[in-house]
Amino acid sequence: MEDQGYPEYQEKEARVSEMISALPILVAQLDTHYRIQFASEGYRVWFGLEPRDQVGHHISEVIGHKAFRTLKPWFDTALAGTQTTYHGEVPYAHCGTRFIHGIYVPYYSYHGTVTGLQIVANDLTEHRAIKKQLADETLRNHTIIQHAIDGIVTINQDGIIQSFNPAAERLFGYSASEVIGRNVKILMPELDRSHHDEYIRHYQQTREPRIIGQGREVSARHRDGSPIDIRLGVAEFFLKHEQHFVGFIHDITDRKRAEKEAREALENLAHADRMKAMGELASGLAHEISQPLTAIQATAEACRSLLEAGRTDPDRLSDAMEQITLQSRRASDIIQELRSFVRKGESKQVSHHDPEFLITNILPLLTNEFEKANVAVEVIPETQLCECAVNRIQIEQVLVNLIRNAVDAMSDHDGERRLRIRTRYRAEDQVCEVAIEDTGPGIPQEHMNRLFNPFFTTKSQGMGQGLPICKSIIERHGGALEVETPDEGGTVFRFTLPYESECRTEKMHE
Amino acid sequence: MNETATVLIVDDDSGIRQALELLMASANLASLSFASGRDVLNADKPEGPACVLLDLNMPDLDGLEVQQRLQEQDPSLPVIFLTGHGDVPVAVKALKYGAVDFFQKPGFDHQQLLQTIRQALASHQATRNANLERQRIRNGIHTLSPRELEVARLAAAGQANKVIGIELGISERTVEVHRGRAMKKLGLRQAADLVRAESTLAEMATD
Repeated sequence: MEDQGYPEYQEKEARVSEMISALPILVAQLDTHYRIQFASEGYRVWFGLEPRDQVGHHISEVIGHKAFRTLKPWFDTALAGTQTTYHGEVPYAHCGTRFIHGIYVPYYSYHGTVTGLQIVANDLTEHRAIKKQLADETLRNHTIIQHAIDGIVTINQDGIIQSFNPAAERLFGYSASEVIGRNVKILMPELDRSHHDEYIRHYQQTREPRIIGQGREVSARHRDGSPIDIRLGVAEFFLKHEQHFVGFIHDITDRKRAEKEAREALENLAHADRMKAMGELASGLAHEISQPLTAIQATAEACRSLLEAGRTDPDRLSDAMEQITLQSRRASDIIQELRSFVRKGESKQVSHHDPEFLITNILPLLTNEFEKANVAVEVIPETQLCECAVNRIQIEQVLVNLIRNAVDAMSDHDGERRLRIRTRYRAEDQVCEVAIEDTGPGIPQEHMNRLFNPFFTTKSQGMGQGLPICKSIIERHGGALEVETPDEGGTVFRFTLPYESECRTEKMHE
Repeated sequence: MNETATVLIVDDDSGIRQALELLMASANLASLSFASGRDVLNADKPEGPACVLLDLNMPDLDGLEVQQRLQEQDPSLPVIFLTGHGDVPVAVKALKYGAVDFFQKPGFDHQQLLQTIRQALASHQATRNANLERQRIRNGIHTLSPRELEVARLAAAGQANKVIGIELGISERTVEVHRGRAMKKLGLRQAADLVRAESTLAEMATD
């Protein structure tokens, strides 16, 4: 009947009790003798006991003696009238050691005396574990970043440097504290600085990656102003909804230097080879130049005689003058070609050419060789023009070498002496192919493997450098040089050059 | 010498052919051009006196070989070589084979070349004339009577009519008649011509 008098109150208490039970925390109430007055659902979960059954029992019977001993000083503090908190591990019975955050609040009677304490304990074990794991991970990542060989730099969406690892410090000559908070532009050469904001904006607007996710070889700037060759990879990430970028910076200065040295070594070797070739071709070239000179002299002499004799037929004289112009151009073309062939300083230039054009250019240098060896020459462009980005002199050198080899191969050969040079564009792998075919005796199988080895030669006068140089030059251009002896006889040297493309050109320019 | 003299130009280089043609024309010399040794060997040679201006360094048949084959065709045809600077040893060989001269390209003296060509043409003309005369004599000799031949041989040997008459036991007047007839049949006009024909007559007489 009493109950009926307070139905609202009872309902409220039941709802609160339900709510407390639903919380993943322990809520309990002890009397001054540590006896349980109330225990929430949490106690069932933690200690496997029905909360109702726990009422009246000493708390140590539920949580174990060890746990009681650990917490007793806090219980006592609360019982003494002071609220207190415990933050630490508790060796519980049944559920084992847990890391808890406990609040112990004195419970007052209506008269103001402490009649017990209330316990609210939160299990932080998993939280701690995650935190620990996070800390470990942070430590690991920090270690990786600190000890990475590559520079790692993060910037925010405005390009302001957020972090700068020791490798970056070494690479750029700045300490982290100097650059954090400054715009990343200070690490770039003048040229790129003005564009960097634009780059970031462009990416933010279009989401069109130019460097993100692909990596690129670019130039950077050391604190002292000197340029550094780097390979830069960029990734994007978000912190608190704010866009950030992380740059991975690999120093390729050494590789670049090695590449440059290799390139220079090849250039020197190639130049020496060209000089040697020119020496060998000299008498033939003298002949080629002396032909037009002879024609010019004879024509001029004839004109003089005609004029002296008063035979001034304008048509005839004009024809003669035209011949002189034509023949002098012929001589100067040969000299021009010759000069560019042996030139060294400008040999780094890359330009776009159709291989067929290069072939027709160098043939005059070799006319005399063909005549001496009695070789018929045919240039056969099998497909439409195809442009390649090449170092013209070097490719011409390859052509001269291969063509001279072919002529040499045929010079002691009975039977047909025919040189065919075919050019074509190979659509399937986007390369231009040049094939130099002779009708000579072919290459013996036992020589095939060593053909491209330096110092391998079958010629008494040879140095065995020609083919290795050709191979190096072609490979530097991103192509391949192969040899083949067809069943029908002769030898075919075939080389490819990548079809012109912008990125290739860029690379070659470095 | 009313026949046209012709310079046969043989060079695989069209520029040089054209230039030499003009040079010849400027010196009032007729010329014919050939682009290869084969072409000149296969061509019909001009009627009149000629000489060959031959490039030593040519593909296919080289100049030396062309020279030899031309000389097989006409041993008296003079050959003048144009050579490159490196070809001197070959050019010397060509001289041994009977070439008239060689000129090095480039920079040879054109006037000297023209002079050499004129001399060569004249020499070819002279040889040709001598050959023609010899041919005429050979053709005429069969028409001579034995007595006319006897008189002609002795006259060609430089004997006076009187001496011939005594030797043959005929009158000086008869000798004169036989001699005149023989001269006419052989197509000779002067006594000197007969003297020149002596060797031919001597050859023929021994046949």
